[in-house]
Amino acid sequence: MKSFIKSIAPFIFVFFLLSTPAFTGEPTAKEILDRIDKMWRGESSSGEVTMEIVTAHWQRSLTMDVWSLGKEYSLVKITAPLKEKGVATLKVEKNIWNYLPKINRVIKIPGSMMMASWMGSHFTNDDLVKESAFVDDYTYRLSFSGLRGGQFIYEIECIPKPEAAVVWGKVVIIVLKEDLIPLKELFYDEDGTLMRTMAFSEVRSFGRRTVPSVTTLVPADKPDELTRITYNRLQFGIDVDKEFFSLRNLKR
Amino acid sequence: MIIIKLAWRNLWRNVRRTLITISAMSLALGIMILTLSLVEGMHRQMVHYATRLFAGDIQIHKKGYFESKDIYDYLSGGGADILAAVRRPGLHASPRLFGSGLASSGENSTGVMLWGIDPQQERRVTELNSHLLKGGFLTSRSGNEVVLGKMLAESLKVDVGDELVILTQAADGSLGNEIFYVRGVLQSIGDEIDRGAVIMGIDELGKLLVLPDKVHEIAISLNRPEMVDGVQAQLEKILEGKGVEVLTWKEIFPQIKEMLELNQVWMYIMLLIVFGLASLGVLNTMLMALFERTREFGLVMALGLRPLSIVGMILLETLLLSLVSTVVGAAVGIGLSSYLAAHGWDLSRFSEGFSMSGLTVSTTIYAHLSMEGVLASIICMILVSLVAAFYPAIKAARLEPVSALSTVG
Repeated sequence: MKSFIKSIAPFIFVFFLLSTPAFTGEPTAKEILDRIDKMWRGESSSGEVTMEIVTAHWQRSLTMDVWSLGKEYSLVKITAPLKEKGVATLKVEKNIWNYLPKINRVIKIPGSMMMASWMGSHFTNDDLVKESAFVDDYTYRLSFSGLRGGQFIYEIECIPKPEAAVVWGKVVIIVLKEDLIPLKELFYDEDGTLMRTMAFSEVRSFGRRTVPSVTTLVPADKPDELTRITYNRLQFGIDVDKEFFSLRNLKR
Repeated sequence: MIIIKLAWRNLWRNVRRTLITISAMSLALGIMILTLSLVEGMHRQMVHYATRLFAGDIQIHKKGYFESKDIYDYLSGGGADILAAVRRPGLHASPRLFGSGLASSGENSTGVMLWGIDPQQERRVTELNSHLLKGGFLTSRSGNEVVLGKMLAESLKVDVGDELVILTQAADGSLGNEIFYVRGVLQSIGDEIDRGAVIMGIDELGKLLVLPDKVHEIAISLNRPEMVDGVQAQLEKILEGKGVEVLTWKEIFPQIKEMLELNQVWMYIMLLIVFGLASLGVLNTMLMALFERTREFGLVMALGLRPLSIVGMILLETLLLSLVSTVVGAAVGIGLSSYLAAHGWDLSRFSEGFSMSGLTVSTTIYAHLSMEGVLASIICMILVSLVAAFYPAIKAARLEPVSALSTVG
């Protein structure tokens, strides 16, 4: 399910620290990043997730199958509920297509709709496409290291480069020092106002990796709403190639 | 009677001066009437554009919808209770539902506004249906047909008969998606419609958004739009306690309302200037006449004419002068206004069509001749002339008969 985390939460590179040996001394944010980046290449995964969405007016739960290859390719297919069964999203580099089985049409999401909700959740289409560019779009700094809230943590502050086309003014990533498991990501706008919080919990082992199996996204202006993604199954190093991430497979 | 005759004759003792004065006054009046009608015509056009294209004279929403545009701020039951409550002669109402989504055709897709209307009611409220560029208008509250803006159609590269996929987030969180066919394309009538509106039957949109029998807006047009403020107050009273807001176009397009008010102020300033100049003409004429006729006034006073009668005579002359000017000026003003009311004044030579508050405004101005405007101008004209004549009149009345008689003139 690592792949799915990547698809929806672009900044979860920290995950991949999990499988690396502990650092000796204090690593710089850049060092952490470089290691993750190296580990990501060619990585493939598949799994099943449940996405619960709670808003002021409704709540629902979607189950979906997900596949991914590196940072550039991912495919998501909804398996339940029945009304949305077969609805699928394909991401190839910076492009997103949605497949709608009811009308048997594929729609390419235009740039103007990148900030729109993805499948009714609090994640946006932008969250899917921006992950590939995250490394290039931000500069990093280890902004805190030590005890906070009873836990030893690293806090990495990510500031977008001036030329980067990103929506956030700042992203703060909080990682558990001991095993480098991420705890939280905080997203701020350009005025420094907190826009949303992504929290990670329920650390589980999937094969040779240990990752938080639940990601909860809460918009700061609507604290009663949330989108929670739970990874039911997750498998790494599966046998897929680029051809798998095609419009043909999107419809299948 | 003799005094009127005398005044009339006096007026024509210096034909050229009197004619010049009459010309000046007539011109002032003519310009005034024409300007008033042009401005009035432009105002009416603006308001017409603002209200008759889509907004309506009055809109009713669930309280807060106008600010929030929240799809959950709806009126239930198809707005039937409100539609029934506002029913009265001279008033037409039409329900609407709004949403937003993604429209896609082939490789092209873009974010759009979804407007659900009742085509039968809508054509009594707005002229949307008569601004088609091509194709036809919607005919029913349901069905998979849409009408869309011109620029939107161009950017999606769709034409009449083409397929259009609409994808939206429905009110229950599900993914609403449906195939529609383009029934018609609208002319460029306003930025909002032009760039982003996909219009369909209200029941169809209700189905797509999973908001069945819900209404976001009830648009109302009045046979007599000038009554809008009174009707708003009435409707507010009737609908009290129903949790709705009743807004007029003045609240929907505050910029237009402010612009019209500002225009009104400019009108008064201009009125002041034009009539100020005209009154100077009158003052000049009468003063000149006074100097020429000092001996004459001395004589009639020596013969026993009371000073008050002298004042009366000069004012009477002025009145006659302005009456003649009124006839000529009103004829010119009304004539030109009527012509521009019928044929319009094409300003496209001076400016390309402009857009105001997102409404495309025509470059052809049609004058609107209002009797109040004409009457006000005439009365203004006469009053100003009389006021201007007062100074010469008093001056004449104060003449000393003996010294006046000895004046060379």
